[in-house]
Amino acid sequence: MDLIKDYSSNVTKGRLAETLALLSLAVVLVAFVPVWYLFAAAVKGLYILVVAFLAVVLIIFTLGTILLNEEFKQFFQTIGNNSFLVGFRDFALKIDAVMIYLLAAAVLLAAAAAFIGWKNQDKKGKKGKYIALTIGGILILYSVLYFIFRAQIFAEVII
Amino acid sequence: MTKITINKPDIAAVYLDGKLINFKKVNECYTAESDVAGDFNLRIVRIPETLFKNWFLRALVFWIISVAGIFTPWYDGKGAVLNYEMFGSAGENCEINLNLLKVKSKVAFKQAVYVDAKDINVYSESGAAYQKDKTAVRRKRLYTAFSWLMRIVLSVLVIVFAVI
Repeated sequence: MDLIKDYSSNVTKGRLAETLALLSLAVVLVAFVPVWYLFAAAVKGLYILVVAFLAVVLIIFTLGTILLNEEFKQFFQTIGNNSFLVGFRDFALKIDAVMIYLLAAAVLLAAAAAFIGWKNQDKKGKKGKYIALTIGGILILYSVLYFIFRAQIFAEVII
Repeated sequence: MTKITINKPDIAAVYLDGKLINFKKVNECYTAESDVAGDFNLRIVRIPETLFKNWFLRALVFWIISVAGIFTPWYDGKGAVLNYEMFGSAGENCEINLNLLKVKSKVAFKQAVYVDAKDINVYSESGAAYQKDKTAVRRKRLYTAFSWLMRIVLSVLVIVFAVI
């Protein structure tokens, strides 16, 4: 039946939109690991670090093995030798090196989610669209603030 | 011109003469307009994804894309199917107010669709309640079992490769 085919296509597209949006969110969380480290180090609270670590441990397991195979191994080795915070710092520094690529991937995923979910009638499609647009908005704001601060620092150094 | 309003457009898909209706929020109310006149067919459809054609293949693809099924919405575990159909004849100033109940509602399996129509002659209507589909429930359980098993296998493999 055409109606059922249309319905299943709509629902599947909706699921795809929300999946891509959630993936984008996960990539953003991983990309901001260095920021989490700075935050945790600033407040000297290990609890925040533990909660943050538990939240992304599964993502890191997967992305770490795909993107940072060697670094991932070293990260685990550092936990055994040094304190937890130091190990996390090392890992954060390594993530920092690929942060721009992770953010670019997150933007692409969010754009794909927004595109698929734009005219989708399903609940999941609409949800995916809103998540993607929120991520996009936050990243644009972050980029603007980042360049303002960089420009300020640059100006101070030059002057 | 036929005016259709609905309490919640996310519960099920509404088709008028085979065309999916796009509801827009106007003053706290979801409304759509259609130029249908004369005899029409209204259908309200909600089918769990586990009843779709090639459901396992679709679920497997999403399981892979969403990193072991973590970043994808959950599948419906209640297996509630809604297939409401109404045949009728619409007048010039026809209005259809649809009130749908969620699956969570206690009486949804007795009656889930309430239609308040003006300037309409209803010939027949059927399927106003959710029907529990055992196949959908069984498939959802199968998917959950498969998903957790594969996650355990994947975790073991990742740990082994990370340590070696």
